[in-house]
Amino acid sequence: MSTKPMRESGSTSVKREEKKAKVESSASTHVTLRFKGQDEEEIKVFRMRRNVEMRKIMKRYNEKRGVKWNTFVFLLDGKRIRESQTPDELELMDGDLIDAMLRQNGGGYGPSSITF
Amino acid sequence: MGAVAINRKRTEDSLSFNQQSPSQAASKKRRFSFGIVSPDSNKPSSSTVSRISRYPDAKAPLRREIHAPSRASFRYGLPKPKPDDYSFFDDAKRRAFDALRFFTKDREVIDLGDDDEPVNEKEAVSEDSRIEEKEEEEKNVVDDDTSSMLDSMSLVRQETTTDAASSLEAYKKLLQSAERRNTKLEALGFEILFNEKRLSQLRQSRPKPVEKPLKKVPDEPFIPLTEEEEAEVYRAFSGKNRRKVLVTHANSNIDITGEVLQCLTPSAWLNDEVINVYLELLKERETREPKKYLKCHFFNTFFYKKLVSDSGYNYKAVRRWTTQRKLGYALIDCDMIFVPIHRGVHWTLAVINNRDRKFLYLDSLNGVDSKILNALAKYLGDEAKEKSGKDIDVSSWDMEFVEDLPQQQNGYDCGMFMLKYIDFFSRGLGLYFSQEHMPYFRLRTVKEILRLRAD
Repeated sequence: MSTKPMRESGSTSVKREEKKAKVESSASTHVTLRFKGQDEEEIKVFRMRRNVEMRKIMKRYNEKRGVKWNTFVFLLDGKRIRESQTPDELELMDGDLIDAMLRQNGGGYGPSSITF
Repeated sequence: MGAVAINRKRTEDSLSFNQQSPSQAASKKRRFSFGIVSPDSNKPSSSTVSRISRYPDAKAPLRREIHAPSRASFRYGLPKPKPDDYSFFDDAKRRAFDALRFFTKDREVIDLGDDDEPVNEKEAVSEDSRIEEKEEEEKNVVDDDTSSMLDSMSLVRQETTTDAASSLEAYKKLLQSAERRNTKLEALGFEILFNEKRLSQLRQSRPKPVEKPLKKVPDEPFIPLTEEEEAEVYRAFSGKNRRKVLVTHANSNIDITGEVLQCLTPSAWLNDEVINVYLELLKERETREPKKYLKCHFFNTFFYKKLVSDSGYNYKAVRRWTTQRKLGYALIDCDMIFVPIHRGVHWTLAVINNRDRKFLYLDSLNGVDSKILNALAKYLGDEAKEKSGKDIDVSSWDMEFVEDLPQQQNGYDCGMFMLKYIDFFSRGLGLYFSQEHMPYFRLRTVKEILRLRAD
């Protein structure tokens, strides 16, 4: 493999190999995911079953942050994660980082007339 | 202004002589010439002016007689030194008099009635001086010529009442100075004409650029909704649909419930789901008809938040968002890259215009933030290097805070404005819409989301 253009996938494949080893050694039924909140340095680590819907873990995260369950939007590399999806579906690997983002509303200025 | 002062002083002096018409004439003339300046607003300052102001005193009776003007002198058989000069002088007089209709009438009536003194010299003297007055006004300049001439005239004044020969001299001198004036007047007249022409040309050229683009705008962005479509939209807004998932955009994993869609009702703030879904639809539109639209990439609303957070610029946080595998194309191959910016309660737009090599920032409230464009410039450089191994010299690119763009007139439409900036730009159009289109755009966006198709 050449270095520069393939650097990204190169590193991922290396990562994947490492992870695969880890997963195989420990239960391959679980995956460790990292959650990073918006504007927050701290990363919360969760472990979950691979075949379970993300819904649970998303709920847990919200609880841990002390907010309503639907407060955060979860992204994987920019793409939203649906509650009904599973780590397997998303091809999540150990150590993958999930972004927890706050919902966004905007109009310009003043109080919003309709709030959700 | 000196000229105004002159007139005022003259008036006062005339008045002191109990002369009705000269003062009237003077004041009328003054008003006519300036239009807005009040007679008593200015004060004379220079010695020249005071000299000139002295002038009307003695002149008053003579002045009027000038009006009988050339006719009277002809009648009296005064030999004219230069016939041509006299006609020149006459023209100047006529021009001046034409400008002051009432002035002329007044004078004539009173002139012929009052004075028994020899008409010639006094006429000559006063005529010249009168014309001088006008010329002064027209030019708004106190000439040195004037002062010297007036000096000579004041001398002349004292002499001419009795001496015909000296009056002739005076007449000559006055003619000469009047002629000098004439050339200046002509130059001024020409300048006026020239400037007027320039002005009219500028005026003509100004509105044109604005008009032309308007004609070119296609109807597509403004096609009204059919009744059916409107009904569909209002049904979507209804209360019973609040919890229901009306549409799902599979690709982006966004579920649109009635509740979410309600942010498109008039005066509601737009939320990230509706915006992100719409951006996905725009991308799909382009994929359907690539020739019709520019090659664009639409970042979702969270991109900038990850790129620049409280801890600063972080390319790594978004590095994996734009892999070739994910996108199907290289980001830097796009004509335009749209980056929605969310700032607290306000939506704005940043654009990386790859085609024209510039960064744009569009804010429907006309705000400015150079931090954003700087971050995007850095991002572009990093992205190009990482994904394509290319070096882009972003420092040579322009950074523009677009000022001439449709502005929101309220506190809730910024999201819609942002979406429309993106929509129009991706069509390769200018931003030919305004606040008044927003209600329509909201309905149209609902329709497009319900259909999962932007046109």
